[in-house]
Amino acid sequence: MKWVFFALLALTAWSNSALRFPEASGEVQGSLRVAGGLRVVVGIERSETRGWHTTLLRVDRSIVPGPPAPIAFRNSDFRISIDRFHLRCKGSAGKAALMLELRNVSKHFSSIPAVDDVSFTALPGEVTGYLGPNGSGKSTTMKMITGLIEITFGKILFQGKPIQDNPIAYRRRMGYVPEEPYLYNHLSGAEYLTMVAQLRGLPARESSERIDGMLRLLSLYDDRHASISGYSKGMRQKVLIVAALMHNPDLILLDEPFSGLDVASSLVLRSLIRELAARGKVVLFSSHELDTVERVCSHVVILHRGKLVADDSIERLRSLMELPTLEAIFSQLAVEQDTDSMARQIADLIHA
Amino acid sequence: MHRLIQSLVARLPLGFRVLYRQFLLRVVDLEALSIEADVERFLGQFAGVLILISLISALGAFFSTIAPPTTPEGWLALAWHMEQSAVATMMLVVGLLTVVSWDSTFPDRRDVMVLSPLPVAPRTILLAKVCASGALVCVAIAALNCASGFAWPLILGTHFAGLPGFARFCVAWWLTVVGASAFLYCSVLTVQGFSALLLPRRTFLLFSAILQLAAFGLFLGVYFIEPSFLSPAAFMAAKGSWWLACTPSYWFFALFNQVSGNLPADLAWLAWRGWIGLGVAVTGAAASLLLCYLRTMKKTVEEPDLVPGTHGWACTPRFGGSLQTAIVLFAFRSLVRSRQHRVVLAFYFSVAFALAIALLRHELSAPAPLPITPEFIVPTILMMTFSVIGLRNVFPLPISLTANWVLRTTQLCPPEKYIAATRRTQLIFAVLPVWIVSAFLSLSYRPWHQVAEHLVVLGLLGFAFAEVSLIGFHKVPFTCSYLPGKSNIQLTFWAFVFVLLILGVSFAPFEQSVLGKPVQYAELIAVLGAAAFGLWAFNHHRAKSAVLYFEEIPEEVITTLKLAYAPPNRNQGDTQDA
Repeated sequence: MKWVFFALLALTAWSNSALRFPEASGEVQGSLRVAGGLRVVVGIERSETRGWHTTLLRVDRSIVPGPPAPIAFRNSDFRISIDRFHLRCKGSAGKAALMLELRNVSKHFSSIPAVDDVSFTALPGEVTGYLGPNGSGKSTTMKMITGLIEITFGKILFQGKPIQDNPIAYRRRMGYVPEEPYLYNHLSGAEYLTMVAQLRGLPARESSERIDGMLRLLSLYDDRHASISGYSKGMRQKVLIVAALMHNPDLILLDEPFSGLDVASSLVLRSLIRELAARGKVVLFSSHELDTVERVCSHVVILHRGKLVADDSIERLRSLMELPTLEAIFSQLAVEQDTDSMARQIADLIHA
Repeated sequence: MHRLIQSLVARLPLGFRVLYRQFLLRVVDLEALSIEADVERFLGQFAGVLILISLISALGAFFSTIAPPTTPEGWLALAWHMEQSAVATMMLVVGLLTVVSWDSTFPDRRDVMVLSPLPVAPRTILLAKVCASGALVCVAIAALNCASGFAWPLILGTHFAGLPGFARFCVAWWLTVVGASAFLYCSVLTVQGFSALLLPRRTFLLFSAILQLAAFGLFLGVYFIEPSFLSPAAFMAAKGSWWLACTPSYWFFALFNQVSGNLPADLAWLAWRGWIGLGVAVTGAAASLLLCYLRTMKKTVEEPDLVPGTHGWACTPRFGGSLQTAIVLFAFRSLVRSRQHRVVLAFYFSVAFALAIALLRHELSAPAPLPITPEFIVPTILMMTFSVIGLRNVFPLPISLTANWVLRTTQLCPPEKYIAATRRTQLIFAVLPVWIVSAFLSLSYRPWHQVAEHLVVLGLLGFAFAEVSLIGFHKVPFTCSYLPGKSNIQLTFWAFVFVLLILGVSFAPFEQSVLGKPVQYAELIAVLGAAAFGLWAFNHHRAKSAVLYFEEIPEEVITTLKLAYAPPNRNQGDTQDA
């Protein structure tokens, strides 16, 4: 209830604040007082004669838990968009505070930046798509979020707190499906999942019921006692998905989760991702399947050569870039080569 | 000569040459033996060790000329001892080779999947495989006998029959070592080949893994346990014994003497066993290989490499909390299912149990009940030592580094809990089995209270050994990357064995003297208990501030490029310019 109150307070504060919506040009100034662990994400839209268009710029401000604190905005030729704010306040404010936030995160391997100054936010209730060509730094980011590799610069926050502050509590609430289905091949599927449940300290009976139930739903139950070394890629992927979800995590990190899955399982997983998001989970979803991303994600982050090139809803990106599909947007932002020409060159090389 | 060899090699079909090279580099089962995954280096080290052994043996031949035996019986004993040890050592080396190159002569699924779509005839694959694995055996024979195979025939042959004797001894030596090696290698191939033919592939894979372990234990065990017969009279006395009739090393020893012309007529049957065994083994291996390539290549692709999972354990045992159960079960499954870990651990267990049997053989053959003696105490302590050190040396070998992410992302407990689980694993799989075996062996000993007292001492020693072995080991077993050379396993192992052997041997009489004396025994228990508790407290305290690590980080090495500025020598510079 406390969080709902704060959310209402924030909304009230927003509508009654000293925000002044400017005319077509001018300066945006505003201030807002909210309290608690709420985070306010403010989109900035550019004014043009035909209307308001979202730019790729955003002002993100978070308010750390504590006493009410003011935040101020100042910019020119922009207006404050509040629809995203409204969107986020549809749920309870407590859930809104679950968000995952990356602030200026960089990762350098031997001084070569693999991820360079990436900032974005993944919110509960929506699936955030994380896109980029091979080698753009997606999986590196995922590994930084899981804590598998160290961050060179920047911060990753979950519920407003750096994940390094209490890694055990963070891991307890995180589920991760890695890019490659690396599993202990000498174990059977059931043994592996039981081990993960035991490592997570889940009660034996409850975990057993969950594992069996999920394996049945994913058509893996009959093969649960076979060694993982004999599993197909899709079967391994299913084991990873069960392992990632069995403890009901709040933050779900999916790195290429559809890899190797058959059509039926892909459809199940697609719906499952949406369902989990609808139940208030934070879902960060990395994939190369743009069609799936377009269907599943409400918000996408596009990375190119380690840098963030887009961070917004698919609809806004479409309207902003005046392109019909996510594939077209992605091609414009992150694909440098002329793909048709490359294909011709390869065919020529074979014939030569 | 080099050009001639090159031109001969160039005449071989290209497909054969390419495959032979590939198979030669893969002949060692990397899963079973991993030395930086560098097969060439491993082969080099392997040959180097064998050459060293050969040189030491040749040095022994040289020393025997300094103080030669004075009687004909002495010469005969020396000759027979050397012949028996040469045959036994050769068979042990080839036996160990068959273990590390297990299954390499038969096509595996990868071979079939990669080579079947290519225009390569199965006979080319077969020949390349046989030549590659045969080359390894040839290298072993040549390296192990390169010095001793000439030095001993020179000493012994010339003593018995002058220069012709040397030639005859040389022929006998080389023929015997080649024959014994071929017999053992072909026997293993025969068993493997017919198992592959008769059993379904999945069952064969399971059977093959068990067979590999059994063969390893058998080769080591027989080498340590088999008695030496140093005179015809000793041989004749053992004529009806099981050892003599069924141990191939004696057959080939007799074969050696038959070829060298020194075999007593009463032992000719042993030599014939050698010839017949060799013929049967070679024929069996050839038949099984041919049939395998004709029949099982398709079977390899059609049938999966897995034992079908029809059922799991109805109730999984618990070993404490959920984390401890997870780690202990993970360790158990890794030990049972990973060939590499199995083989390495089997080495320590085989040595331990072979030593124990060798030491206890006379004790246990006496009528029960027996009094507790140092001859019983020493082997039990030795077994405990080898077992703990063996498991500790297997712990750092990773099973699947890429899969470790799951342990890292599920690390929800402080490191001390993981270290406690590792300790429990050590106690359950190293200390407990030896303790149970010792308890079983002690059934022949009386009085009971002394047996019980010894078992308490052994348990405390095992606990203390386990704590010593885990000092600084802040890892989950089988999950940390391994930097060969850093842990220096071999050196540590032999140092431990040497120190603990001395301690064990000197401790045993003391323990025996206090058994049945309550006050002294209580003092001993108090000291051992305090030592075990102190070690536990030390490890426990360190674990609280420990960081669990999954990657061995190489020590930073500062390499200087010696680029410091040095004023040029004007005169020297001028000279150089000129």
